[in-house]
Amino acid sequence: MFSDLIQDLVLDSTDIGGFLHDVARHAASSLSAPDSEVHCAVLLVRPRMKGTMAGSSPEATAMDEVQFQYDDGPCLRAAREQAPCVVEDFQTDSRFGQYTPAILHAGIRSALGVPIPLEGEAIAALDLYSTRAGEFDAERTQAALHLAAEASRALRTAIRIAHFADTATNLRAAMDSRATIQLAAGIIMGQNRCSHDTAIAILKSASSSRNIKLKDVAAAVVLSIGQQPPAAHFDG
Amino acid sequence: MTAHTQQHSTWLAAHHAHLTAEDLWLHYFSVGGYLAVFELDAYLHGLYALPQGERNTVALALNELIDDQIDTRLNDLSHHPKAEFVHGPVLD
Repeated sequence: MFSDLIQDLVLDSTDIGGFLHDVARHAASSLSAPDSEVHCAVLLVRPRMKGTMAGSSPEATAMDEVQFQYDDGPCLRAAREQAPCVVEDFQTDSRFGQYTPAILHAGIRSALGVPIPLEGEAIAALDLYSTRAGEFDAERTQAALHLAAEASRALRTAIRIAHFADTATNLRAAMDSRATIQLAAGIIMGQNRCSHDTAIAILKSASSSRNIKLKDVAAAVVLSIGQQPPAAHFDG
Repeated sequence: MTAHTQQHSTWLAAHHAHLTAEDLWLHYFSVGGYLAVFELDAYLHGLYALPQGERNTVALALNELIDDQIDTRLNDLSHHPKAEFVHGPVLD
Protein backbone atom coordinates (compact mmCIF):
# COMPACT_ATOMS: atom_id res chain seq x y z
CA MET A 1 0.00 0.00 0.00
CA PHE A 2 1.16 3.52 -0.66
CA SER A 3 1.18 4.54 3.01
CA ASP A 4 3.55 1.68 3.91
CA LEU A 5 5.73 2.48 0.95
CA ILE A 6 5.91 6.11 1.94
CA GLN A 7 6.92 5.26 5.53
CA ASP A 8 9.83 3.33 4.04
CA LEU A 9 10.73 6.34 1.96
CA VAL A 10 11.23 8.38 5.16
CA LEU A 11 13.68 5.82 6.50
CA ASP A 12 15.53 5.44 3.21
CA SER A 13 16.03 9.09 2.32
CA THR A 14 19.01 10.97 3.65
CA ASP A 15 17.36 14.37 3.88
CA ILE A 16 14.02 16.05 3.39
CA GLY A 17 14.79 17.01 -0.20
CA GLY A 18 15.45 13.36 -1.05
CA PHE A 19 12.25 12.29 0.65
CA LEU A 20 10.15 14.86 -1.22
CA HIS A 21 11.78 13.73 -4.44
CA ASP A 22 10.77 10.11 -3.80
CA VAL A 23 7.20 11.14 -2.95
CA ALA A 24 6.97 13.16 -6.18
CA ARG A 25 8.25 10.23 -8.24
CA HIS A 26 5.81 7.78 -6.68
CA ALA A 27 2.90 10.19 -7.02
CA ALA A 28 3.71 10.75 -10.69
CA SER A 29 3.86 7.04 -11.44
CA SER A 30 0.64 6.24 -9.56
CA LEU A 31 -1.33 9.15 -11.04
CA SER A 32 -0.13 8.85 -14.63
CA ALA A 33 -2.18 6.78 -17.03
CA PRO A 34 -0.49 4.97 -19.95
CA ASP A 35 -1.84 7.52 -22.42
CA SER A 36 -1.45 10.61 -20.23
CA GLU A 37 1.73 11.24 -18.33
CA VAL A 38 1.66 13.83 -15.55
CA HIS A 39 4.57 15.66 -13.99
CA CYS A 40 4.50 15.82 -10.24
CA ALA A 41 6.21 18.15 -7.76
CA VAL A 42 6.06 18.48 -4.01
CA LEU A 43 6.62 21.77 -2.28
CA LEU A 44 7.24 22.45 1.37
CA VAL A 45 7.38 25.84 3.05
CA ARG A 46 8.63 25.92 6.62
CA PRO A 47 8.65 29.07 8.75
CA ARG A 48 11.85 31.15 8.48
CA MET A 49 13.30 28.79 5.90
CA LYS A 50 13.61 28.84 2.17
CA GLY A 51 10.98 26.78 0.38
CA THR A 52 11.95 23.21 -0.46
CA MET A 53 10.72 21.55 -3.62
CA ALA A 54 11.26 18.34 -5.49
CA GLY A 55 9.90 17.04 -8.76
CA SER A 56 9.38 13.71 -10.52
CA SER A 57 11.27 15.19 -13.46
CA PRO A 58 13.55 18.21 -13.97
CA GLU A 59 10.60 19.88 -15.75
CA ALA A 60 8.36 19.48 -12.71
CA THR A 61 11.00 20.98 -10.40
CA ALA A 62 11.50 23.86 -12.82
CA MET A 63 7.75 24.56 -12.85
CA ASP A 64 7.60 24.75 -9.08
CA GLU A 65 10.58 27.09 -9.12
CA VAL A 66 8.61 29.33 -11.44
CA GLN A 67 5.89 29.51 -8.76
CA PHE A 68 8.40 30.66 -6.16
CA GLN A 69 9.70 33.23 -8.60
CA TYR A 70 6.25 34.78 -9.03
CA ASP A 71 5.15 33.85 -5.49
CA ASP A 72 1.93 32.50 -6.98
CA GLY A 73 0.62 29.42 -8.76
CA PRO A 74 -1.75 26.51 -8.14
CA CYS A 75 0.59 24.68 -5.77
CA LEU A 76 1.34 27.69 -3.59
CA ARG A 77 -2.36 28.57 -3.48
CA ALA A 78 -3.31 25.01 -2.54
CA ALA A 79 -0.73 25.07 0.25
CA ARG A 80 -1.74 28.49 1.56
CA GLU A 81 -5.50 28.10 1.28
CA GLN A 82 -5.46 24.41 2.25
CA ALA A 83 -7.83 23.62 -0.60
CA PRO A 84 -7.35 21.98 -3.99
CA CYS A 85 -6.63 24.35 -6.85
CA VAL A 86 -7.46 23.15 -10.36
CA VAL A 87 -6.43 24.86 -13.56
CA GLU A 88 -8.42 23.45 -16.47
CA ASP A 89 -6.49 25.32 -19.11
CA PHE A 90 -3.81 27.95 -18.60
CA GLN A 91 -4.77 29.54 -21.93
CA THR A 92 -8.15 30.62 -20.53
CA ASP A 93 -7.19 31.04 -16.87
CA SER A 94 -6.64 34.59 -15.66
CA ARG A 95 -6.05 34.06 -11.92
CA PHE A 96 -2.27 33.85 -11.88
CA GLY A 97 -1.05 36.98 -13.66
CA GLN A 98 2.60 36.84 -14.78
CA TYR A 99 2.91 33.19 -13.80
CA THR A 100 0.57 32.02 -16.60
CA PRO A 101 2.65 33.04 -19.66
CA ALA A 102 5.75 31.57 -17.99
CA ILE A 103 4.07 28.22 -17.48
CA LEU A 104 2.51 28.18 -20.96
CA HIS A 105 5.94 28.83 -22.37
CA ALA A 106 7.06 25.60 -20.67
CA GLY A 107 4.36 23.74 -22.62
CA ILE A 108 2.01 23.15 -19.68
CA ARG A 109 -1.73 23.43 -20.23
CA SER A 110 -3.40 22.19 -17.04
CA ALA A 111 -2.40 21.79 -13.41
CA LEU A 112 -3.69 20.60 -10.08
CA GLY A 113 -2.44 21.58 -6.62
CA VAL A 114 -3.62 19.71 -3.55
CA PRO A 115 -2.61 20.57 0.03
CA ILE A 116 -0.76 18.03 2.15
CA PRO A 117 -2.17 18.53 5.65
CA LEU A 118 0.54 19.28 8.24
CA GLU A 119 0.65 20.42 11.83
CA GLY A 120 2.13 23.73 12.97
CA GLU A 121 3.24 26.54 10.71
CA ALA A 122 4.70 24.44 7.88
CA ILE A 123 2.65 24.11 4.72
CA ALA A 124 3.01 21.67 1.84
CA ALA A 125 1.31 20.74 -1.39
CA LEU A 126 1.42 18.16 -4.13
CA ASP A 127 1.44 19.62 -7.60
CA LEU A 128 0.51 17.90 -10.85
CA TYR A 129 1.12 19.26 -14.32
CA SER A 130 0.01 18.06 -17.71
CA THR A 131 0.77 19.15 -21.25
CA ARG A 132 -2.92 18.60 -22.14
CA ALA A 133 -5.83 20.83 -21.18
CA GLY A 134 -8.58 19.56 -18.87
CA GLU A 135 -6.47 16.68 -17.60
CA PHE A 136 -7.54 16.92 -13.97
CA ASP A 137 -11.16 15.87 -13.55
CA ALA A 138 -12.98 15.16 -10.27
CA GLU A 139 -11.76 11.57 -10.19
CA ARG A 140 -8.10 12.51 -10.57
CA THR A 141 -8.50 15.28 -7.98
CA GLN A 142 -9.91 12.72 -5.53
CA ALA A 143 -7.02 10.36 -6.20
CA ALA A 144 -4.52 13.19 -5.63
CA LEU A 145 -6.23 14.27 -2.40
CA HIS A 146 -6.12 10.70 -1.18
CA LEU A 147 -2.43 10.48 -1.97
CA ALA A 148 -1.71 13.78 -0.22
CA ALA A 149 -3.51 12.57 2.91
CA GLU A 150 -1.43 9.40 2.91
CA ALA A 151 1.79 11.36 2.49
CA SER A 152 0.89 13.65 5.39
CA ARG A 153 1.94 11.43 8.29
CA ALA A 154 5.24 10.45 6.73
CA LEU A 155 5.99 14.03 5.80
CA ARG A 156 5.38 15.17 9.38
CA THR A 157 7.85 12.56 10.57
CA ALA A 158 10.37 13.66 7.94
CA ILE A 159 9.98 17.32 8.95
CA ARG A 160 10.58 16.46 12.59
CA ILE A 161 13.71 14.46 11.77
CA ALA A 162 14.95 17.26 9.52
CA HIS A 163 14.35 19.78 12.29
CA PHE A 164 16.57 17.90 14.72
CA ALA A 165 19.21 17.24 12.08
CA ASP A 166 19.23 20.95 11.17
CA THR A 167 19.50 21.94 14.82
CA ALA A 168 22.51 19.67 15.29
CA THR A 169 24.16 21.02 12.11
CA ASN A 170 23.49 24.62 13.14
CA LEU A 171 24.86 24.11 16.63
CA ARG A 172 28.01 22.56 15.20
CA ALA A 173 28.41 25.52 12.84
CA ALA A 174 27.89 27.89 15.79
CA MET A 175 30.64 26.13 17.77
CA ASP A 176 33.02 26.43 14.80
CA SER A 177 32.18 30.11 14.43
CA ARG A 178 32.81 30.78 18.14
CA ALA A 179 36.11 28.91 18.03
CA THR A 180 37.27 30.92 15.01
CA ILE A 181 36.35 34.23 16.69
CA GLN A 182 38.15 33.32 19.92
CA LEU A 183 41.22 32.22 18.00
CA ALA A 184 41.25 35.47 16.01
CA ALA A 185 40.96 37.38 19.30
CA GLY A 186 44.00 35.50 20.59
CA ILE A 187 46.00 36.43 17.50
CA ILE A 188 45.08 40.11 17.91
CA MET A 189 45.98 39.97 21.62
CA GLY A 190 49.43 38.68 20.70
CA GLN A 191 49.97 41.17 17.88
CA ASN A 192 48.60 44.23 19.72
CA ARG A 193 49.48 43.27 23.28
CA CYS A 194 45.91 44.05 24.28
CA SER A 195 43.26 42.46 26.48
CA HIS A 196 40.77 39.88 25.27
CA ASP A 197 37.92 42.39 25.62
CA THR A 198 39.78 44.90 23.46
CA ALA A 199 40.61 42.26 20.85
CA ILE A 200 36.94 41.22 20.62
CA ALA A 201 35.91 44.88 20.40
CA ILE A 202 38.38 45.43 17.52
CA LEU A 203 36.95 42.42 15.65
CA LYS A 204 33.34 43.46 16.17
CA SER A 205 34.04 47.03 15.20
CA ALA A 206 35.78 45.91 11.99
CA SER A 207 32.86 43.62 11.16
CA SER A 208 30.22 46.25 11.81
CA SER A 209 31.89 49.13 9.98
CA ARG A 210 32.82 47.07 6.90
CA ASN A 211 29.54 45.17 6.86
CA ILE A 212 31.39 41.84 6.80
CA LYS A 213 30.20 39.03 9.01
CA LEU A 214 32.14 38.71 12.26
CA LYS A 215 32.89 35.07 11.53
CA ASP A 216 34.39 36.03 8.15
CA VAL A 217 36.49 38.83 9.68
CA ALA A 218 37.78 36.36 12.26
CA ALA A 219 38.54 33.74 9.60
CA ALA A 220 40.47 36.37 7.63
CA VAL A 221 42.58 37.16 10.72
CA VAL A 222 43.40 33.47 11.17
CA LEU A 223 44.23 33.09 7.46
CA SER A 224 46.42 36.22 7.62
CA ILE A 225 48.94 34.37 9.78
CA GLY A 226 48.90 31.46 7.36
CA GLN A 227 46.63 29.16 9.42
CA GLN A 228 43.27 27.48 8.81
CA PRO A 229 40.20 28.38 10.89
CA PRO A 230 39.38 25.51 13.27
CA ALA A 231 36.58 23.01 12.74
CA ALA A 232 35.16 21.56 15.94
CA HIS A 233 35.15 17.77 16.03
CA PHE A 234 32.23 16.17 17.77
CA ASP A 235 30.92 12.70 17.35
CA GLY A 236 27.73 13.27 15.39
CA MET B 1 24.16 56.72 22.34
CA THR B 2 23.19 55.52 25.74
CA ALA B 3 22.63 51.98 26.91
CA HIS B 4 18.91 52.62 26.68
CA THR B 5 18.88 53.97 23.12
CA GLN B 6 21.02 51.09 21.91
CA GLN B 7 18.72 48.59 23.58
CA HIS B 8 15.68 50.34 22.12
CA SER B 9 17.12 50.41 18.57
CA THR B 10 17.85 46.70 18.90
CA TRP B 11 14.32 45.95 20.01
CA LEU B 12 12.88 48.00 17.14
CA ALA B 13 15.06 46.25 14.56
CA ALA B 14 14.13 42.80 15.90
CA HIS B 15 10.47 43.75 15.99
CA HIS B 16 10.45 44.98 12.38
CA ALA B 17 12.26 41.88 11.16
CA HIS B 18 9.80 39.64 13.05
CA LEU B 19 12.67 38.04 14.93
CA THR B 20 12.22 36.85 18.48
CA ALA B 21 14.93 36.18 21.06
CA GLU B 22 14.58 32.51 20.21
CA ASP B 23 15.18 33.16 16.49
CA LEU B 24 18.15 35.34 17.31
CA TRP B 25 19.79 33.21 19.96
CA LEU B 26 21.72 30.64 17.89
CA HIS B 27 23.31 33.25 15.68
CA TYR B 28 24.06 35.44 18.69
CA PHE B 29 25.73 32.42 20.31
CA SER B 30 27.72 31.75 17.13
CA VAL B 31 29.28 35.23 17.26
CA GLY B 32 30.40 34.71 20.84
CA GLY B 33 27.39 35.74 22.92
CA TYR B 34 27.15 34.16 26.36
CA LEU B 35 23.58 34.86 27.47
CA ALA B 36 20.79 32.27 27.53
CA VAL B 37 17.60 32.82 25.50
CA PHE B 38 15.73 33.97 28.61
CA GLU B 39 18.23 36.73 29.41
CA LEU B 40 18.47 37.75 25.76
CA ASP B 41 14.69 38.09 25.64
CA ALA B 42 14.73 40.18 28.82
CA TYR B 43 17.40 42.48 27.33
CA LEU B 44 15.46 42.93 24.08
CA HIS B 45 12.44 44.00 26.10
CA GLY B 46 14.45 46.44 28.19
CA LEU B 47 14.23 44.48 31.40
CA TYR B 48 17.83 43.41 31.74
CA ALA B 49 20.89 45.66 31.46
CA LEU B 50 23.98 44.48 29.58
CA PRO B 51 27.54 45.84 29.36
CA GLN B 52 28.43 47.65 26.14
CA GLY B 53 30.43 44.76 24.66
CA GLU B 54 27.51 42.40 24.98
CA ARG B 55 25.03 44.99 23.68
CA ASN B 56 27.24 45.25 20.60
CA THR B 57 27.30 41.47 20.23
CA VAL B 58 23.49 41.38 20.23
CA ALA B 59 23.32 44.26 17.72
CA LEU B 60 25.89 42.64 15.45
CA ALA B 61 24.17 39.24 15.51
CA LEU B 62 20.79 40.81 14.80
CA ASN B 63 22.07 42.97 11.95
CA GLU B 64 23.74 39.97 10.32
CA LEU B 65 20.45 38.07 10.46
CA ILE B 66 18.57 41.01 8.97
CA ASP B 67 21.12 41.14 6.12
CA ASP B 68 20.50 37.44 5.49
CA GLN B 69 16.76 38.05 5.29
CA ILE B 70 17.32 40.74 2.67
CA ASP B 71 19.44 38.27 0.69
CA THR B 72 17.04 35.36 0.77
CA ARG B 73 13.66 37.04 0.41
CA LEU B 74 14.80 39.38 -2.35
CA ASN B 75 12.46 41.96 -0.86
CA ASP B 76 13.67 45.48 -0.63
CA LEU B 77 14.23 45.69 3.07
CA SER B 78 16.92 48.33 2.70
CA HIS B 79 14.85 50.74 4.76
CA HIS B 80 14.64 48.18 7.46
CA PRO B 81 15.83 49.53 10.82
CA LYS B 82 19.09 48.09 12.11
CA ALA B 83 20.34 47.84 15.67
CA GLU B 84 22.80 50.58 16.66
CA PHE B 85 26.39 49.46 17.05
CA VAL B 86 28.63 51.51 19.36
CA HIS B 87 32.16 52.02 18.02
CA GLY B 88 35.06 53.15 20.17
CA PRO B 89 36.84 51.94 23.26
CA VAL B 90 35.20 49.56 25.67
CA LEU B 91 33.60 51.71 28.35
CA ASP B 92 32.52 49.14 30.87
